Order: sequence, then C-alpha cells, then structure tokens
Amino acid sequence: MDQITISMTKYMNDHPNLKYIFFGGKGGVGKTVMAGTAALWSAKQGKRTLLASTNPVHSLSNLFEKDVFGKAAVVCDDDRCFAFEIDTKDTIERSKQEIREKINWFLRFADLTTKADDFVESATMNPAFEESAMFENMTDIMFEDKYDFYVFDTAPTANARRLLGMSKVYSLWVEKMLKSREEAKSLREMLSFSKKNEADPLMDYLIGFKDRMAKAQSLLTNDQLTAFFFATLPESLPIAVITRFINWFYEFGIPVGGVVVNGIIQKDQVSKDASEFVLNRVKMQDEHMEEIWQIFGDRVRAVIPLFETEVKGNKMINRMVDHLFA
Amino acid sequence: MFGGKGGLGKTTFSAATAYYLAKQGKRVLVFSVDPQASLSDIFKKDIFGKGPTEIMPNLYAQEIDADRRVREYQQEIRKKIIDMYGMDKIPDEIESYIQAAAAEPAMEESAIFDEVVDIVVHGGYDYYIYDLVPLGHALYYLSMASVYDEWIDKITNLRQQMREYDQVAAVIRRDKELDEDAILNELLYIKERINKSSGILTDKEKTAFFFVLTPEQMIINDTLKAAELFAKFDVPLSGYIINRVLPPELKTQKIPEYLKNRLIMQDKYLKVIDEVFKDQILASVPEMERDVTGLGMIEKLADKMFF
Repeated sequence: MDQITISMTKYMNDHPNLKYIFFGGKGGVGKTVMAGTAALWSAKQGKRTLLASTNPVHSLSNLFEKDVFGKAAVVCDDDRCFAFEIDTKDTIERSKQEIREKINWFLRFADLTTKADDFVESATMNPAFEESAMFENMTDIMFEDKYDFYVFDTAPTANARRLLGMSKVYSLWVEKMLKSREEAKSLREMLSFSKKNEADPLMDYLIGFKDRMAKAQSLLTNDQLTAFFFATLPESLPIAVITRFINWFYEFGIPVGGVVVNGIIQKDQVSKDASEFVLNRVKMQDEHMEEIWQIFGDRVRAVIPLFETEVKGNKMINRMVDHLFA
Repeated sequence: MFGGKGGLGKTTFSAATAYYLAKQGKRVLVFSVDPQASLSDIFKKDIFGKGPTEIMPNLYAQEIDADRRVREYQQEIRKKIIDMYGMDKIPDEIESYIQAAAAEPAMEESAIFDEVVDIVVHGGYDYYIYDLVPLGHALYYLSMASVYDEWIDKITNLRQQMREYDQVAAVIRRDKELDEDAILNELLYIKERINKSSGILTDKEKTAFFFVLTPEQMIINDTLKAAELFAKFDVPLSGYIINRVLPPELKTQKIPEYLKNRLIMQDKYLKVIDEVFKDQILASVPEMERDVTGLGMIEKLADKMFF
C-alpha cells in the first residue's frame, strides 16, 4: 500500500462529533504548525475553535506572530479561531493557595498546631506538581466548554502520554485517599461525644476531584469526541518514536486518529542533474516513505510537502490547510 | 550534557561525542531517561531498560525504563512485607495500597531521578554523557536536584519536630519510635545522595552543558529563553553547537526552490546566531545527506564535531 485510504478530511467527516484533537510526535516535526492548521480549518468550518498549548515551552505566539501568552486571542483571519498559551505560573500559584486552605483546614480538623506553610511548600515543590497543574489547566479548558472545537498543541509526546495517562492514574490515587479519609472520619465520629455530622471540605474536594478525573477520562477515551494525531517526518528517528508511542496510546485506551507525514521533498522540483546532496536525500526519503506505508498503512491521513519557506503567519497556515485537509 | 528543543540533534550529538571519547581510549557511558529514547534507534540496537550495554570497546549506552524501576520497587515492598510478617501472599487490601502508591504522580519522576543518581554516584566511567529530554523538561530535571534537596530538608525538619511532639507518647509506643527513626535515616540517606549528585551537576570543573540549536528564528528565540532560565538555576553553560547547517557549496549546484530559500534563510539566521552567541559557539555541524544512525554515520558526524 502506498496511498491514503482515509484522508484527514474523510476522518473528520466520519467523526462529525469530534471535539478534542491533539497533535503529538518527536520534537521538530511540525506539531505546532499542524495544530495551528487544524484550528484554522475547524474555524473555517464555522466552529468556534480554541487552539491551546500545554507545552512548557510555548511557540504559538511565534507561529501566529501575535502574543497569546496567558490569554486567548483571535489569531487567524477567521474570527472564530482563538489561540491560547497557558501560563503555568498562574495555575501553580492558584493550586498552592487551594492546597494551603485545605491543609489548614485539615490541621485544625486533626487538632495539630503545626503551621501549614511548610507542608504547602514541600507539597508544591514536588516535581510532578507542574505536570499536574498543566493537566488541570487542560481539563479546566475542556470543562468550561466555551468553544465548539479544541486543538491541543501538546508538549513532546512522552509528556502528552503522561498527561493523558494521568487521568487514569489519578483516579486510582484519589480512590485510595478517599478511602482513608472515610476511615478517619468515621473513627472521629465514633470518638466524638456530640455525634453531630461535621462538614468535611477536604472530603468534598476529593470527591469533586475524583469526579473531574472520571469526567476527563471519559472525554479523553471517547473515540467519537477525541482523536490523537501523530506527526512525523520521513526520517528514521521520528518514525521510530511514533511507532512506539502509538502502541502506548492504544494501551491507555486513548483514541489514535492517525499519522500525518510532514516535509516531503517534491520530486517535480528535483531535476535529474540536481546536486548529489539532494538526490541522496530524495533516495532516503523514498526508503522511509516505504517504511511509513508499511508500519502505519491506512492510518496515514495526510502527506504534506516541504514548503519553500518556514511556515509562519496566516498566509502560510492557510496554504497548509489545503494540504492537511486535501 | 546536551540540551535543546526536541528534534535538533541532542541524542545524535550525545552519541557522536561518546563515540569520539571512546575512540580516544576513555571509558564512556551515554545514557538517556527520555521514554522517547532514541539511543536504541541511533545505535541500531535495542537497549531500552537493559542497563549499560556495550556498543563498541569503551562505549556503553543505557536507556532508563522508569516503569520497570517502579515495578521493581513495588516488588521490593511486597517482599519486605512477606518476609516481615511471614505471610505467603500479600493481602488484597495491602496490594491495592501498593498499586495506588505506584500510581502517585511523583513516582515515575523519582524513579528516574533515583536511577540517574545511581548511575552518577556509582562511578566506573571516565565520562558520562547525559542525553537530556527536550528543553522545558531538561530544566525541570536539573532544577530537581536543588528542589529535592530543599524538599527533603523540609520533611526531615518536620519529622524531627513531630518527634518532639511525640516524646510523651513515645514512652508507651517504643516500637513506633523505632519506625520513625528508620524513616528519618532513610530520608537522610536520600538527602546525602542528592547532595552528592547535585554537587556534580553544578560543578564547573567536572560538568559541561552544551546547547544544540539550528539556524531558524523560532529555535534561536527559544534557545535564548532557555539559556536565561539555566542561568537562573546556576547551571554552567559551556557553549552552543549549531546543527543542520546546509553545505555552502550547494549554492553553486543545481538544487530545488525550497533548498535555495532555505540557504538564504539559513545565511540570515547564521548571522543572527553569530551576533547573539559570538564566541560561545563551539562547532557548526553540517546537515547530513542521510539519517545519522549506525556507527558509520556516527563516526562521520563525530569527525565534523571534533576537529
């Protein structure tokens, strides 16, 4: 097989309720450009679209030549197309505050006089904290439901897989915490003289959190709503990376939308007497394309030519739309 | 250590540097914690989760499998419980607790960190080449040493305070106090390891940190941003290496339009790089005609990097 059976456009038509799409792949393969292109396409379909970056190193502002850090702003010539680089610092501050309140409450509940500040510091300095904050940002955006369509430009794939996998992991963890909270509560009730039912905000928080995670998981694993696309170049390392990752995604039950191959040197632009360097690259490309068809087969959704210049700004993204949604 | 955005050639440069040093007769370990792990692909040998693997004389490569490390840790706990209580099997109740603990978000991070510390503290090589994960995360790992250090300080302090509160109760709970001491000792042990490894990381005499970039505007911007951040964390930056520079002789050859434009674009950004990074540029490596995989291509690249 060496041609597309289900194109990006056909995939979209076959999944008319699709609402959340993600682009992943090795660094430098054009994930941000693909995400920008898909967002513009969706806006052109008449959908209010949000393109959000959850990558700690953002590049959307650069792509659209407009500052979208910390706030969603219209980026394309279509006024339905918004982009947004999430400011993690804000979220981390906010989460810190939330945790501080909860811990303070808990300490009073447990009759401890220790100050909460130290606990809060040690909890939020936990290295996984930023990652969790990013995940919360993503789910917040999804739950707010202010747009018809969402495109997420995710951090390098490992991270994305972890972000998504985290919803599963979290529910397991929260389950455990909930259980021990319940035990503590019933013990306290047993020992208390008054027998009155005290409010338990920490418990409420955990239950709320658990519900959020369950909701996120149900959205992220619903193949009618969500699709994860992988971008690659016709080169061996990016291909190897997504081959591995696609399998991991299947394990997590995250719907894989397909593969987009980027940066193909157009043969009609290469004459027979072209420089040795170019001819060698074309030869290598042919080998890798064969590999791509063999591994991904009918999951290839688009094959995109290498443009003469860097893809940046509206004009170029518009050109890209015609190729991604050919 | 090689850092930089994804897809710029960090792993390739790590492999080439390891190759060069090994050829000089040094014992070298090149390792990666990135689950995207390209070392296997570059050396054309599956080394993921297999410990240090000999690639050629003096050259060892290793890709850390954090998941496996977490599973090993779980198994260790199970064994301890079984031994301690003389049980033949872990009760369901406790098994579910072990599962939940492994699912804790910080678990994978600390598993990775633990393994890196193990590698560095263990010794046995003349050179260690640490192929870092892409920018945002590289920073994260480097800052982790100081973060962990502070974190553990806090915990040990708290523990010590708690023990004071517990003094009275401790008289009737002798066993419990012994447990607490064991935990404190464990924490102090971890702290010592971390101090040792973060000392190595920020030691300008022993550690060099290189940034990889390519002549493109976005990449230059991101590299500048990252360099600022690294400075903030006191990580010694040793210089920059430019990758994927198109051979200038192409200008006189017959090439397609896209390549002509790329040459013009590259010239423009190479000038910018020259101005911005000046004498901190250590090497300029040309774009190769084909993928850098296998020792033959690695050797070619190493020749261009070290001359």
